[in-house]
Amino acid sequence: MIGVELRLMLRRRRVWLCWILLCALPTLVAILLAATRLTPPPGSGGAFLSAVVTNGQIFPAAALALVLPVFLPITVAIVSGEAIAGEATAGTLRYLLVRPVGRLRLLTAKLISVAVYVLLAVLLVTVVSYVVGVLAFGFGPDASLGGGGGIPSLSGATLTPVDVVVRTGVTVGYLALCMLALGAIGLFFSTLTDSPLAATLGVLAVVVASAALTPLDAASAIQPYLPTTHWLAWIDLYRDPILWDSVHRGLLVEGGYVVVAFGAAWANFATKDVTS
Amino acid sequence: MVGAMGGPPRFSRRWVLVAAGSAALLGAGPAGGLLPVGADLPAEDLRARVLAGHPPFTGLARSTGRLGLPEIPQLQSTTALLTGTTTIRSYRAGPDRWRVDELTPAGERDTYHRDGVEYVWDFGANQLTTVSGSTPVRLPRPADLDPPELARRLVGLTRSDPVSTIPGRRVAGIGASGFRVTPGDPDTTVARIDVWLDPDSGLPLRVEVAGRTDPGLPVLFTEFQEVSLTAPDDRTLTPALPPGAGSVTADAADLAGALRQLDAPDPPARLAGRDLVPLGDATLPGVGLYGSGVAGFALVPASRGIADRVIEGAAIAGGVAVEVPVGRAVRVSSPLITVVARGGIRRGGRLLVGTVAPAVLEQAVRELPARGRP
Repeated sequence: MIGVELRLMLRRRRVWLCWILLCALPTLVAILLAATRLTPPPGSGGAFLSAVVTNGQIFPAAALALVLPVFLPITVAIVSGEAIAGEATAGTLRYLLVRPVGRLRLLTAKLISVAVYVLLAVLLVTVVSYVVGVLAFGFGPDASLGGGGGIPSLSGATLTPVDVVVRTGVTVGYLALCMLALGAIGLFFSTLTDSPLAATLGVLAVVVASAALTPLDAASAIQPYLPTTHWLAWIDLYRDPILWDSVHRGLLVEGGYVVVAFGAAWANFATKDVTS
Repeated sequence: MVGAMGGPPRFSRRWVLVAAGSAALLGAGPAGGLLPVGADLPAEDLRARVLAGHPPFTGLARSTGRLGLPEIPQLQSTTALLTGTTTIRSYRAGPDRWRVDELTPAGERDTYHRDGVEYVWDFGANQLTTVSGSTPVRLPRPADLDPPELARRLVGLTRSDPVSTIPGRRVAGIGASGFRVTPGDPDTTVARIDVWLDPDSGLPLRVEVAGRTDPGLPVLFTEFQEVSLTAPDDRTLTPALPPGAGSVTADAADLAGALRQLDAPDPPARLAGRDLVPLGDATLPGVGLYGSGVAGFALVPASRGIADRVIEGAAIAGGVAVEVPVGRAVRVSSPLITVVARGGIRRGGRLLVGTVAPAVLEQAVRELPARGRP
């Protein structure tokens, strides 16, 4: 079942289109920065963008910060919103459930499919932007001293190549979990409606509402529980020493969203009348 | 829930399970508030512990200011400390060996203090600045909002004011004991200073300051999110200069040179009934401190351009015009800080800032000479 879902996901053109578009935006930004050398002033623009021209190895972090607020959530909303509602619209959900397949097992396979999608999306953006960043801006000052070195942390201390790989790996995992939380919400919405578009828009409504409440002082009581509050916590992985506090909180909240949204999807889908 | 056969609405057991799980997850956070708070201890003892100093620590704190000040040209980073939320990571091994990082979503600005020399690392500017020397007066900075540091300064300024015990609370996982300082000077805007500290180590964990306009609402508060009583290691307290970053040096005395260019007269010996506080040998041209405790204010010379921009900005922020013998002046009042700017006079721009009632600064600006020596 899981293998079937993964093969289906990998065969979809829109999935590949989403991945290509996610990689295209940072690539375009890198080309423009390399051509003009006009970086945003310190403190403005995307995170890390002002520093990338001095060291291309920082570009994956800048690329992730670029796609995180809008592009990545949109693609996750599309893929997850389609999970169940897409089958219903295509008229295949009824036939799928006729087979000796439990609904929980089907939902689990769908969630794993979304998880693989988000993991590959974040990983692709990271790898492609690393290659593009190094090609456009080089390995950094150490290149002239006999080889590519590390990158400067936000605190000034230089991170060794091993540090960079480990921290980037944790970043990829963390962002994949953040997006999986959104994917689980999308999966739940997908069980509520037969329209993939409605489910997708529902996920985007959650993102917009959460982003609107995050900077509001009056909403401080609920801010720790909003999904977008913790999306930028991965930046703390590039400080020295690493600031784990916000990452830990983010893991708990985003993990909680996955559990609750998947539970709600299961509670709704298990007893739902499937007519299409 | 509607039953599969279209029966009467009912909640399925699955939904009950999901709701219970969600409630358990949501309740896990606030449940921390049920843990024990610090015991009520004699306020004088707690104040003495704050004044005696604190042990080495490493902590993450968040400071929030709600002072509603207008933006002052070239001082935006300072006003931001008093009007927004600042995240601070502190490493303090001792009074002369510490590091405080101001964390922003996309970078950080770290101040290191080692053996009398300060280093400032700015990720955005990709630059390490070495600052030698010091001045008797300086602008507020993030390191001042660290709870132990803010507590030390404020409690130090109010040594003779009455204190009382307030209920304990839980801060950063520690049951903290609290005390309140109520400033007695009728001219100060500060209604109360509340400090909560770890009763075992004496480390201040939370500080609240409220103004007299609404004593129930703290307008400046800083609190540890997490704290550890372990001394930071030497590597953490050593500034690093990454390859390709800039390195510059600055002398704190440069500030005196910049002020000297303004050709400001010496500050008057007395303003608004308050004596000029001696600043020692390293005076700053034109700068004066008046009053004592939390009922003091500062006089700072400003170029005409800056003074005029402050006056224009203050008008937008609801400032009130003040009648002065020469030039023009405006006053902005926040619940805690009062600012009066005088401009419209060549080489006569002045800023008066303090935690005093608006009437005090209005009187002070009227007493200021137009220019030249008083």
